[in-house]
Amino acid sequence: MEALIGLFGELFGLEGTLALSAAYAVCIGSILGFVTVYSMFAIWMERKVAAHIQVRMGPMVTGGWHGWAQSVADAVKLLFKEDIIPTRANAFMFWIAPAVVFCGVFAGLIVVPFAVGVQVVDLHLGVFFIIAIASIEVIGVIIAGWASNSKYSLFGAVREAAQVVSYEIPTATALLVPILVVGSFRLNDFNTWQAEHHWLIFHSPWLAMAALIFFISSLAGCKRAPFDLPEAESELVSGFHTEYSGMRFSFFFLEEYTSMFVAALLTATLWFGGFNLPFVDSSAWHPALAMPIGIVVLLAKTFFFIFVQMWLRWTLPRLRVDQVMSMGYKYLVPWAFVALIATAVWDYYGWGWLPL
Amino acid sequence: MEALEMFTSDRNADVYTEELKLNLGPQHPSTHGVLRVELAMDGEIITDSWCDIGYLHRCAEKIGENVTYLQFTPYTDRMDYLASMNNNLAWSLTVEKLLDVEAPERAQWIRALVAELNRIASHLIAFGTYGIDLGANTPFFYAFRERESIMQLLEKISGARMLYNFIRPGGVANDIDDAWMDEVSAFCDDFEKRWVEYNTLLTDNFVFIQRTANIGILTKELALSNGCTGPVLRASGVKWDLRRDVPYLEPYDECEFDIPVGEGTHGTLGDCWDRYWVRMREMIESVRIIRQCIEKIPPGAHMEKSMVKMYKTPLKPPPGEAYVRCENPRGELGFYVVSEGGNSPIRCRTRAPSFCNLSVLDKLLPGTMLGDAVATIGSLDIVLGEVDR
Amino acid sequence: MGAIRDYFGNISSALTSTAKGMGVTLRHYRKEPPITIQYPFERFPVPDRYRGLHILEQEKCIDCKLCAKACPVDCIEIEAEHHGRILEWTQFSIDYKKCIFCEFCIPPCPVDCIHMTTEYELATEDPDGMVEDLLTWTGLRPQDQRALEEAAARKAGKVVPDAAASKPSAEGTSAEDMAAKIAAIKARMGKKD
Repeated sequence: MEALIGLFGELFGLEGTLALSAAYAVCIGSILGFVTVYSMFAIWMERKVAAHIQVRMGPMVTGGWHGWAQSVADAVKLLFKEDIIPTRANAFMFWIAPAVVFCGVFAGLIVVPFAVGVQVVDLHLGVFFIIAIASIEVIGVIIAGWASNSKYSLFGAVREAAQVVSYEIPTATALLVPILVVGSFRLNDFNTWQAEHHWLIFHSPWLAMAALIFFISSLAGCKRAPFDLPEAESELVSGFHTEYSGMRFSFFFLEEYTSMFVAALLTATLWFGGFNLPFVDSSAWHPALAMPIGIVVLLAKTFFFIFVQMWLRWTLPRLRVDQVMSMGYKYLVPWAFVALIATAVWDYYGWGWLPL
Repeated sequence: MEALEMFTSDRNADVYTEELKLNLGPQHPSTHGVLRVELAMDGEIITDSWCDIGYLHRCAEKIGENVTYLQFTPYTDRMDYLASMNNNLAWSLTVEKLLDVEAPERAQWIRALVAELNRIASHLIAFGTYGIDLGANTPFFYAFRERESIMQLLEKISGARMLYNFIRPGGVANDIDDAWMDEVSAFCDDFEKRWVEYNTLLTDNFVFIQRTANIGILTKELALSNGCTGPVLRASGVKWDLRRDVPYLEPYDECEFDIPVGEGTHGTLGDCWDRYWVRMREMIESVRIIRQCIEKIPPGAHMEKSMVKMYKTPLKPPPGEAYVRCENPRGELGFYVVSEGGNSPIRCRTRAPSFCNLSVLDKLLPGTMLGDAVATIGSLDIVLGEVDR
Repeated sequence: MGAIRDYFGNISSALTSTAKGMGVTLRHYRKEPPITIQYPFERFPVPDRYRGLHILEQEKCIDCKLCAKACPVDCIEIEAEHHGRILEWTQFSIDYKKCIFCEFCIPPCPVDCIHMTTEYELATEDPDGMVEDLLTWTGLRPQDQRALEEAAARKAGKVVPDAAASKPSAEGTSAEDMAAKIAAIKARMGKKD
């Protein structure tokens, strides 16, 4: 960020607020571009992973090599589709819901450090910010469900509200565990701590448990199977976005895949070393070398977790509403607190677990 | 129920609660066709349900009274389109009973062989779509892989992939050869391995058991009083299978096979899991029957000689009536036919297993949740083509 | 105690069964070859017995209409004028909107002139084009015309110029001709798409 401001100052003589705005515009534009390209890739990946698990081939024709352009074609098709707003729907709310949903998740990406220095804002409360801003998405979904004036949408929205709000407790509690060890909310501190010590997943069994709890509850937060109740195709047709079509529908899609990305990225950053390579000390490297390697390493880790999310989706059946709730409150929440307290005790006595 | 009691349902009050009527179908991903169920919902809990059928009514029974006995055979394909062979078989047996003819021995063995193959195919659909109903998409594709093998096998002998029209009054349309039977036994070997895999993937899955055990409990009494048959009845603990109790084909008398019944392994007897598990085990029993059929099949004609002329001149059974029932994958399929000696029957009535099995749905749904409704409908394994005919 | 055992049992069975299921899907992901094919570019083999579109050996057909009578859905329309043994054809069409491919039109044929091919692609944008005329020619063939004229001439008491030339030639029964007919059906279906 600072580097960008400096760059604008040098190149165009911009100063103060002007340079800041220009730098923000560039950052947001690049994140937006990244999210779009990533979503297209993730959708293509999802289809390929699903197809290969299901002994199919998936898209093979569009674009030549293994149908790589299928998502592009889908995006073009969605762009040109007629924009339908149901007659009885609340048009303004119906219109604004996809934007609200997308903004919440998109904003979370601002604080993410992709590599040394590749970060829009280095917030001190980075983790907190992501969790907080991602909650806005629920409001958007409820708006969408209510404004659609469809019973299926309403069911989906209410399910989403109950589920996501409940699962924020284990998510946040599980996130507190690595925060407790590192002693900071800042995402960059996790990278430096894990570069200096070891990956947090190996710190103690409680951190591994916290990672599992976070991963499971983040699935629920992303509305991924086995927690895809708000969409629940076989029960609610398509859940809260039943009435949406065209570009608005694709915003919900973007949101789903972006939140998957954020969840996977948090898992990678907080527990799996962030942009650090295992067994390699990259702190002394030249930034020009460390930056691309850091981005690649982080994205590789993230995509591994995204793959696991997809793998789970195509393996498991869907839970029922009350089972989702009981799983959250009876299993994840207590164990998240157990992990938190046990980590506190563990670190107080300075026990080691693995010879790291 | 709870929410409705917590707040007032007085409509003059500022805040009041009311039932939500949810229309499940006729166009819905999980109603297995064009079934419409109107649900009264209290939040996620179903308080009442009304089943609405008839969206796929094609007057099959009336058509039966206007076409010849032979010409009705392809129409029976289209009733339970997932088990055409079994429907052909029931109709052919009815016409044979009316004519007092019996199919040659080899034809009977071929009939049993293809009927059991089709039973596996039909149960595979039940297994796969049940997975989809509960949100597990992958088992469906594995089931379709094996079903595709069966369809290709049956395509080789009958010439069609789904609506076979293979079993006809007097025998079967074509003879089968040894090469084909080798392929069938190769399929059986493969299928048994796959079957274990299905169980690892879906049957033993914790989430799947949570979703199906103790859901949609169909008691023995309710099942019997509603005329449920097939796996739905057997899952409730009644050991009733026409293949064993009223052997309508010679092989069923001679082959060894077990009748799987529900045991309430993971919950209560007669719940969704039991119905599902009975179907799964029936597939393995069918494989056993197929193996024995391949071993014991006698040489001979595949069609009764006196019946070959039916293609040119319509069959004219003597006046009388006949009712024959067969064990279909979905239960007891019966055809009741009355002849006055003409070209076509004057009454042609079908006792469809899906129709009777569906009649318990309204009694199973109240008190369960929306997700359970989908699980219950799926576990009854209805085919709307047969319900509405 | 039972409740506590259930609680931990639930956790362990949830984790183990999920892991086992994921093992199955991973094995499929990595090892199992796809069973689907790229349909328009490659196709599954169709068995010889397949019940697809019909073809008619018109030379053999005697216009007995048994196939039309056998049809459960009345989709075959036959129209021809009889000049003794020679037929003047107007129509032999099958309405594929109605046809259910039950095969009942094949066995009744006394001269074995109607067959089913393995052609199964019926999709078309034009439903009216689904009424398929199976005739290779309509009206009278030249040799039939000649034969009829000769018969008329013989009736009138005139001398027949050349008896050998008037015999109808046995054309259109060879395997190549059948293949050509199938190709013609394909071409016609292709044109409608």
